Amino acid sequence: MRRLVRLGGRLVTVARVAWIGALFCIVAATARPATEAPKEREYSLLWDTVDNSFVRPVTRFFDEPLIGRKLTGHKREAANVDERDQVRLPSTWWQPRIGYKRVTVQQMLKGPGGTDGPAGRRWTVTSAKSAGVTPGFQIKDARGDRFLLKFDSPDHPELSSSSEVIGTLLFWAAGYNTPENTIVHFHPESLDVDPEATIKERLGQARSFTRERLAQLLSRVARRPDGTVRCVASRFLEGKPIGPFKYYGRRGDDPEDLVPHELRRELRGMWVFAAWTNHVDVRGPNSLDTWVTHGGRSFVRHHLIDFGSILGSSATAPRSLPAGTEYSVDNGVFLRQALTLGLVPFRWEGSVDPEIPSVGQIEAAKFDPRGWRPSDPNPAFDERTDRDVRWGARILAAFTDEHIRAAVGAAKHSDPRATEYISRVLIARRDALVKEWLGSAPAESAK
Amino acid sequence: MRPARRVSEVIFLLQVHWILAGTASAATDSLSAQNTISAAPLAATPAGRAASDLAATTAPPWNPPSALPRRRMWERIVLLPQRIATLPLSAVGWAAEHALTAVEPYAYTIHRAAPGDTSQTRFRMAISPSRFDERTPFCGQIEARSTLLKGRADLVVAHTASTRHYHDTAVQLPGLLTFDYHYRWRPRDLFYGVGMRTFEDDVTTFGTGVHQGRAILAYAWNRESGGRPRSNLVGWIGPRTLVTRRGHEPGDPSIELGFPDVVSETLDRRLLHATYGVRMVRDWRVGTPHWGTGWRAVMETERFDVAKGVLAAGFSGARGAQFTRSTILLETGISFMHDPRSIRLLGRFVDTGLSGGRDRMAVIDLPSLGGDAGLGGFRPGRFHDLDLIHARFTYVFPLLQKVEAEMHVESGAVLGDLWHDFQIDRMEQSWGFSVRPRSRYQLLGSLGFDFSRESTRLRWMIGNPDP
Repeated sequence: MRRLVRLGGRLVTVARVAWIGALFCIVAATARPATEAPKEREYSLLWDTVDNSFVRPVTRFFDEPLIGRKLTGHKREAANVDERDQVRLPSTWWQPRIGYKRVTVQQMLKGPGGTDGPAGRRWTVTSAKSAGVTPGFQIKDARGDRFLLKFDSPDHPELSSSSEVIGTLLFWAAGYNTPENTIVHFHPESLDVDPEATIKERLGQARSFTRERLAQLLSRVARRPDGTVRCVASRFLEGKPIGPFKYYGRRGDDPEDLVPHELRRELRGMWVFAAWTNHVDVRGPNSLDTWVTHGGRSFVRHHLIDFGSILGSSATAPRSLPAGTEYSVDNGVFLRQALTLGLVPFRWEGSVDPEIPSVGQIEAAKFDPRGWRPSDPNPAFDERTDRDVRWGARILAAFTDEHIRAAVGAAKHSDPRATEYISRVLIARRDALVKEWLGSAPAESAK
Repeated sequence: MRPARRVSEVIFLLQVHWILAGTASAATDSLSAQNTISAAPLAATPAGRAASDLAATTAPPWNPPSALPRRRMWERIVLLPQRIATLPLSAVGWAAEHALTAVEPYAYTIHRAAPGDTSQTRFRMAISPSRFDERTPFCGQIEARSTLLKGRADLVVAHTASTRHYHDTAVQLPGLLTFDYHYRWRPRDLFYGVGMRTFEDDVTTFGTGVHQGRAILAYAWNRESGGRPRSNLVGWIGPRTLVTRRGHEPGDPSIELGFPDVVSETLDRRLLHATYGVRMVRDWRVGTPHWGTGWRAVMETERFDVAKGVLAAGFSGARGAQFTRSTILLETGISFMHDPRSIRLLGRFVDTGLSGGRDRMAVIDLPSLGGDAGLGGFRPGRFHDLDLIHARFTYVFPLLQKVEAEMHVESGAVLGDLWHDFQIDRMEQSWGFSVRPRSRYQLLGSLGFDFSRESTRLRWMIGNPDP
């Protein structure tokens, strides 16, 4: 026999009340503000590609409200802006710097850390990884600060490391949180191995790390003529790492994350800087949230990391020619090519290889300041409106030639042609973006 | 019914919650400024601010009074039916994301397990696309390799089996002079009769068992930097026995029911041949990811003769038809633009000179068209006769960085005598297209359709589809 209770003047079964109660308990539990560090979360690179390149384009194709907004020209604007169309502050995503405050070249070069990389002449390796094209080491410097050493592919010396440093400085100056990345050179003999050090081998097993293994791994990285090794020293970020952020939705376990990421001006407007620096790999896995405690307050800070795949670099090799002109799976390009039997040239065809090994493949002549695209669709970029882009363009316009040349100079290319070429390309791409979106020269726009 | 109703109730309640969650915070969408510091551009504050606050903030961030919904309420209502309908897909997506997240840290083990250079592997098992017949999608292979003569020679034993019970057992002793033995069993090949004037409804099926031993001498030259020879010359000699059996394709009659005359002298009868032949290949095709320019020429002639004495090599059987089969294949291509668009032209001719025992000509020895053998819009084995002519025009063009398209038109015919019976109006046509995933350096497979007056056929392949 079914038991009945009276609820809101109606008789309902006890079972139904239990169902509704359980449901609201679940909702309440998920909505409860976190009082401790959010749980560290993993992010699948492959899923990110599948989701953004295949699943989301299909769902967007059948998204009636989105289609309606597009047809009527009423795209949803960023949700965290004020009446002057500026990002509401404070923000744990973005800090007003160039364009909002006087940022000297020296201040930009100091960047997020304000130091020149690891201190002292002897560093201690505390752990290592052997997977990937190049190895990686975690070290402690003379002050006890921890850094990650990242190396160039032996086939493409200086390519990835220079991109990493240039990207770090430019994105930091634009207002984003980045790690402190510095070019360092060291003699292999100046590395000590911590007796407790371990190495994560290719198959995932951890072993104790020895001096001999260190020598083996260093034989896989590029050496300079004087025997030293060049690498990027990336200072560990402040706080506890809790995994990458996504460019859509909210982090449910962060009580201060109340604006869906795709509605954030900082992320939508980042398209401008990604286009400028050819950051085609701008996606969730190249970000990192940390749980920071300051003055008794704990909170999540959002960082951009891994700039080794920007400009002309794809981390271990030069960028492919199509990078920046189309998505890896680009439905529009696919349709155009299929309908014209491939007789319409791709936008990238005719691009010129600068033939400077440490530059890779980037140029300004074929740069499209309106149609630039990352490798995979980015949810926040997909939602961007002209107002978002103009917000970014105004910041970009405030980058002077001196800022750009100084950031490129920090990459310490051994080939002066590389420094000059990248500087010229970045200046030309900045001018193209600013002219396209603000309709005037950068110097005028910045005023 | 009751559990189903419970599930639908829960789904309904979740959707209601989804909509209501929007209404609770919809008011904040207007974003009235509360406790907000605004980032003012330099133009608005000429003096700028002190440079000391360039560091990331530690202050509590601005936030609306409550979480903003990703969608406005009207959008949620519009999307509600779609969301309910696609809930199963959402579940699949959720599972895929979590599975990939869990597996990905160990993905390098999968990369390690991928086959690399297996030429020196002692024991190997593999599942690969079928090598027998396009109607058998996959095959499994076991291969064992043993060193003989103090390391001077390798003995390779391999067995390959496919989904339709096609089998191939091979024993090979590679070297300057390679000794090679094969036993092949093909139980379900198709036969529609001899010539072009055959009918699709007359399909029959037959099986073939072949034992073949060969001594092979090969010489290669004009090696490119990667080691691949552009030219090679191969000669072989050895005995072969062949037996035609009743077919085992479900739904299709066996060959002796449809074409008793064709197999009256060969069915269930072991025929013995001494075979010897020579093949010369010149391959000057170049280009990545698909070959775009250059040419190749293949010339082959093989004699199937009476096996006597040492040429029989212990094999036994009745005397089969004696014939010489000559094949010429010529292919050339040009390409244009940066990401190559390529045009290719291929011509193939097969001539069979029959010198005796016409009634003992085995069906499997007749050249055929249909499927992978040419005229892809027709079923495999659709046309059989002594001679063959086949031409193919192909256009390849890129669709995306990692995908290209291929379109082709084919024309071909089988003939009793290529030199006397050829009539252009007897040639059949087939056309088709395929989409081919590619890396920067090679093709990875293909998927497409072929069309003919008889059928539309789905064609696919894993691995490089260009021969």
